[in-house]
Amino acid sequence: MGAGGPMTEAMYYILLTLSVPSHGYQLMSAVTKASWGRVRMGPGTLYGVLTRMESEKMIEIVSDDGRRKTYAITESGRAALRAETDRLRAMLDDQERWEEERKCLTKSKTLRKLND
Amino acid sequence: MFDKVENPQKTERLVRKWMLDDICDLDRNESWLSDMAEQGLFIDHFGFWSSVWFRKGTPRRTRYRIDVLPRELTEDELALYDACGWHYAAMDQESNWNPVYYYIFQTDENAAVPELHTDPMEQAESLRKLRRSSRWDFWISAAIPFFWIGLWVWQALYAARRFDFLANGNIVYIYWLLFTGFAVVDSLRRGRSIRRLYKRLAGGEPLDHHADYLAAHRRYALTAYLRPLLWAVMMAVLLVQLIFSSLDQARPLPEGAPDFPAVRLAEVHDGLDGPNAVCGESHHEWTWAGAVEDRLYEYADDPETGMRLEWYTTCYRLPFAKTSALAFDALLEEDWYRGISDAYWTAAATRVETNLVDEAWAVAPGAENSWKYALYVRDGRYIVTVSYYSDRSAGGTGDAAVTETYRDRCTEKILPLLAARLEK
Repeated sequence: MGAGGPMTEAMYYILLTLSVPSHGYQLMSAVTKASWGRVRMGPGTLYGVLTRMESEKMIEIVSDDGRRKTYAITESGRAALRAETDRLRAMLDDQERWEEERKCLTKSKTLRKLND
Repeated sequence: MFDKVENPQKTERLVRKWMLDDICDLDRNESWLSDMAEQGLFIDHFGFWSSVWFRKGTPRRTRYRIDVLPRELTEDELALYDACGWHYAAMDQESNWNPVYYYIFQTDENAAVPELHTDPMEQAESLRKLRRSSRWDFWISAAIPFFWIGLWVWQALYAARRFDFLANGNIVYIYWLLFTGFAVVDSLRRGRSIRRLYKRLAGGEPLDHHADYLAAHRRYALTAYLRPLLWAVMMAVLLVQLIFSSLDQARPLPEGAPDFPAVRLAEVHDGLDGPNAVCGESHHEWTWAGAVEDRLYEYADDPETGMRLEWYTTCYRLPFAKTSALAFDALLEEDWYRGISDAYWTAAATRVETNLVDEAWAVAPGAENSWKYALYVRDGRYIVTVSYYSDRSAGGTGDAAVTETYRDRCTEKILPLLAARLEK
């Protein structure tokens, strides 16, 4: 997990929504919005992920007035997000191709049976 | 600062309770805090030494969650927790050089709020720093007792004043070993707890917020009470030794007869048969190394020459024959305990060939110390030294043959008597 490896859902959505620099409140609602209400992140998870990704240099604090911190994605965060998106997309593509092939196989078997 | 779920009574009385678990045991502590709230006790702040202060309020069912963070939360971040329904209750900071913060949040049992941690795998990640530091804690805490044991062995084998160390011991070592031993137990327990939580969370399973804590509390209490008890025993022993030392168990002779293997002056020197012919005192001491030290000092006037005779016997009983052998070697090397200068020892000491005891050395009067005879004996756990200040004319001639004869005569007289007493 983390840089280079598969991401947790929380990491993925935070990186995704941090393309627009945001603070905690904004981020939490942005994640809910980006996931169409499917992901409702707890504050513990949110700050846990933010602290960890900041130490891994995937995100950075762009403003901190002592009370409120605004986070933004870094170049390495973008690269990790791209890599993870590609990985997920490849997985979906694989799944679709596999389903297609399986359907074709089943079809040809059925035809063969009918011909016999 | 933020909303509280409980309704505190007007008196706001605080009650202190001991947290009978490591704070790292998140699930058990969450469960315990919820049970305390059901009894009307709501966590207010952390005190010293695993103590927690609770505020009295109306009993109600409350959910508690502990968040582990490597940094302090800002006011804005705490406000977000609050907005999500998780109200700040207390915070505990651990370690100043590599701090870990434990934040306690609370919410009403029936409140429709999302969990504090919605992703167990991410929560597992939050324990990673704690896991790493607990490993370091373990290795460091395990290394310290080894360091002390190493230093102990070095002191016993190579350091200066080895005899003093072996016979009298050093209380600092015992205290440090005990202290560092407790730290090893603590770090082992912590490591086990964190590993347990980490494995569960990393496997995608959320923590059991109603975990049973009673058995763990009982185990913790046992060690928690054992520690002060051990310290108390150690302090009591130290105090007893101090009292005994200050009382100085010196007993005057002839009433206070020594109860340790000793050959008496009257047995060796002729003409001292009268009841008050020999005076002196015996002294008994017990040391930290578990050794017993007895000293006997006798003096009398030679009926023939009228010269003062002085007779010193020191007997050490060490806990083991092995340490006795080590201590004997050290004693023969150290002039302070030998009572004879290095130059005189080199010139005048001779090993006595005997089957009566394990090892014996004798020193005859010589040019430098012309009137002293000394015998050093080791047998089993016992080390006995005898010094005899006697007839100056007998040894002070400077004649080697006379000196040897004098030494052999003394040895022949004293050694069989002493061996028989050691045998008993």
